[in-house]
Amino acid sequence: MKETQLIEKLKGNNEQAFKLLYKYFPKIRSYLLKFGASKQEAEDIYHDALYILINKLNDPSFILTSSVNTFLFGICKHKYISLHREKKKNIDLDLDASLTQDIEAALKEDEKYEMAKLAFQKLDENCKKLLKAFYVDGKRMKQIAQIFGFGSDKVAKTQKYRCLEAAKKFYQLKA
Amino acid sequence: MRRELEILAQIDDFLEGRISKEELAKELEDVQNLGEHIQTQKALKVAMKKDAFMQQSKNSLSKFKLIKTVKTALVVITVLAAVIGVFFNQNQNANLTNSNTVKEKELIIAISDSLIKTQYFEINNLKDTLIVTNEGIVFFIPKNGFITGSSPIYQLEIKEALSPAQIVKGGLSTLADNDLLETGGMFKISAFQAKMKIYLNDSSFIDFFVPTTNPIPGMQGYKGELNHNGEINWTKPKKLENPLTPANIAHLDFHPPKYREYLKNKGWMNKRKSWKDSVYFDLSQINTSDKLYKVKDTLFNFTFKKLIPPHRIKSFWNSTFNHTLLATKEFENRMPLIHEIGDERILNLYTTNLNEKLYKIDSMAIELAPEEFKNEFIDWYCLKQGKVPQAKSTQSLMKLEKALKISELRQGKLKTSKKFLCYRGKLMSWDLFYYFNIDVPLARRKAIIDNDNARYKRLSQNFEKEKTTGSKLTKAHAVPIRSHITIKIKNAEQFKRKMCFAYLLRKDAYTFEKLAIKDGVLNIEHQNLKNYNLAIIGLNKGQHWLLIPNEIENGSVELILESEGDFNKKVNQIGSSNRFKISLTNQITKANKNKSTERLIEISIRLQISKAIYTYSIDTVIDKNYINVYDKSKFTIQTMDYDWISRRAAEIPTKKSNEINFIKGFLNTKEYKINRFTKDRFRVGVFDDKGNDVLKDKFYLASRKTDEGTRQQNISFGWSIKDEATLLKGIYNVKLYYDDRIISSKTLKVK
Repeated sequence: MKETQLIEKLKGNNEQAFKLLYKYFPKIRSYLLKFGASKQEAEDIYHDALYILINKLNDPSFILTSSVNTFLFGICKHKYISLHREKKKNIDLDLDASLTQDIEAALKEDEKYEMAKLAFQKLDENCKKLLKAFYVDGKRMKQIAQIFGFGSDKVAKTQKYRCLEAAKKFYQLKA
Repeated sequence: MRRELEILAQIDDFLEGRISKEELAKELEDVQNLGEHIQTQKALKVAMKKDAFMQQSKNSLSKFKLIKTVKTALVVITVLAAVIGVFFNQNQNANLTNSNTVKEKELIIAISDSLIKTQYFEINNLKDTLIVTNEGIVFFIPKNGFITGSSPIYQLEIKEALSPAQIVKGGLSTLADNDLLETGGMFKISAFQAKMKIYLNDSSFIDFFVPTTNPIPGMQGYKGELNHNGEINWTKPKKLENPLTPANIAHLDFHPPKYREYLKNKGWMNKRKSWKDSVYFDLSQINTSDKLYKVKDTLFNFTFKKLIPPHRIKSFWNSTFNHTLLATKEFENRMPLIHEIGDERILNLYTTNLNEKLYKIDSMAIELAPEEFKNEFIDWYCLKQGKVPQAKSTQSLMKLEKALKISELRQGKLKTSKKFLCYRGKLMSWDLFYYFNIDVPLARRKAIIDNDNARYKRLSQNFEKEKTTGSKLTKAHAVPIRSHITIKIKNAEQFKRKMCFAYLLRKDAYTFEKLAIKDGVLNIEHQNLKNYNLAIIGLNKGQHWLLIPNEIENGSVELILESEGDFNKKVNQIGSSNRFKISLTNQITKANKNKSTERLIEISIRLQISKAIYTYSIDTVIDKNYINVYDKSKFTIQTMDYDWISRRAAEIPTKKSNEINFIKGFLNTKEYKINRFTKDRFRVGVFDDKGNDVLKDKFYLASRKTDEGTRQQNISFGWSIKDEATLLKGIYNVKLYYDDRIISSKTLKVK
């Protein structure tokens, strides 16, 4: 599949295209391993990079000026550096200025979401499930009430907001 | 709602685009740092989505690694042995495709998907799970059954249609191409995790129990393939497994129905099980008279006409027999019948053949059962219920029992039968996301029964004849008249496309033939319409419109708006069918009776002929003067040998008795089972030369018994001459009757 086609399909959330992104993984992983990353770290960084890429592609104001491979590589390198600042001098970033700018902006935005993610993970299991059911799975309140055994959709709604309030408190503490 | 929660709700509405920024600012003008609140809430939303994304990605990465490893292995193997490597590659790829591939989004959506309500269940993949749907279908999902991501939690979405109203409202039909099927129920299971479809492991399956009060033999599982119109066509039938439903034997009920009734009348049903059991087992003071078993205990005082001794029940009603066929719901269902018959031999068949398939034991029970109970065993036999499945853990058994109990309660709302009967089967990975239907082709149903054994020969002869005339059903429905009917539906335009349709429902079977209505006109081209009811349905914004015409004929009609309750009631009334089962059973009974009748008539005729030919074949001579000297003048009836080669009995009894007082008659043991339950069906007549029956006038019945201690093949009637009575000299004909037929005849000479 040509790169332009791949990008278009990724913008359309095509599952097949998404799977094709994993072809870049082995090289990026071996690069990170060379600089001391563990296997798990390499995987986590790569998944982060994928998320940032997909997010950026869906932003109408964003224009990808490099290849997908280069962009992913760049994100992974920067991400790794931000985790292990002492290794910065050993890693050759070797990216052009505009790309670096894009990547750095993307990574900065991603940092906020990292904190929110940690706050979300502090919630109890039921709250996590409830919020996921609404915000990720797109279930309606009536369905959620049925699944979780609430008396009515109104009760489910109140419970959802209580969980969100708790997450917000955790987030504000972290911040 | 508190103010803090209201703030969250308002920001949520803004982020979802339900209100504008200005509206939000106006609503929350008192909130400080509103911007920060919005950013926080947005970040949390994104974080949740990212978390789900990460889990999905990790799943995809695992699959990617697996594929890579396999490919590497293939390269190595190919070098060593090319042919084997190709085979392995094909095999491996097929497995991966079946178990791991996410199917592409189906462009065609089933109409039924929008019409049938979905039920949602959240499942933990780390545990065995039992779920019970609203209509009582039970699904057993094994732990680690599904291939999930890092989280073991996933969702099941289930749709079901068991009753006629549900099937009709769901726009489902029972057609496999052009073959009409009789259905036992339909459902669809889909499994998701984070909105992605997930599948079962190759080695896993889901057990299902679909309840029914009218189990039909020969049922298969059909898959629902969509056509371009979104209608479902049933294909790829597969045989249903028919294992038994295991249970903890301590939780089954083997008490006689009469005992339970007695407890109920006394208000003792809620007593502890151990109390009820111990009292039952202690019933030792059983006195028998000729007809009744009287039970007297300190608490109990009642009579049984027939009885299996409690100690026999106690001998197997214990944990030693768990995981055998005795510890199953199916055997529990048979116990009331076994109690009613009261013949220990039938019970012994089940308790001594634990390794046998249940239907084979049922076939043995058919032989032993009295005539009036045979059909019930035939019905059990036809279900072809097999063996106990692999033992489940005690915990799983308990969960299964609980689930079946809930299913019974839910069924109790609609059904009147107290027995829990169900169709059993397994769902594999490729059965998910499709509708699954339990059916038997109507035409094949009779043939399946016919194949069982010769007792249905008469039925199959009818069936074979009808095949050639084009009709697929019983003689009663055999006339193939094709009708063309046009019905205009006046108010059809108020329904959306595909939301107005009609059904032909057989009067004698559970079939649903869906017919399309085009431009408000229903065209029916069908044969034997008199065997059908017609239901015309319209669905509009949750409302149900219905018309069930009294006759299927040309005309113009208007659908009537019904409440959902009335709609369900009316459709269930015309759609439900016990009738075919009843008519089939009647035909079987008739066939059996016809066979017996023929033989009896033949024997009678032969006996009468023999008397004409051998007029003075005297069997017994009694001296008139000494007739009162002997204690009793008895007519003793004994069995005779059955000739298994010619399949006939030695019908003409010619043996003379050496004992003056005894007249011996010979019976065919195949036809006339002699035991304490059948002795009432035998009677004697003593006819003088004028043809008058002098038995009651001259004799009184002193005793009637069978030799139960030995072969249970002899029956003795003790008719003693009355004190003041005497027999005149002459030739008397002593006839033995079974019901109304002569089965033996002897000549008595009084000199």
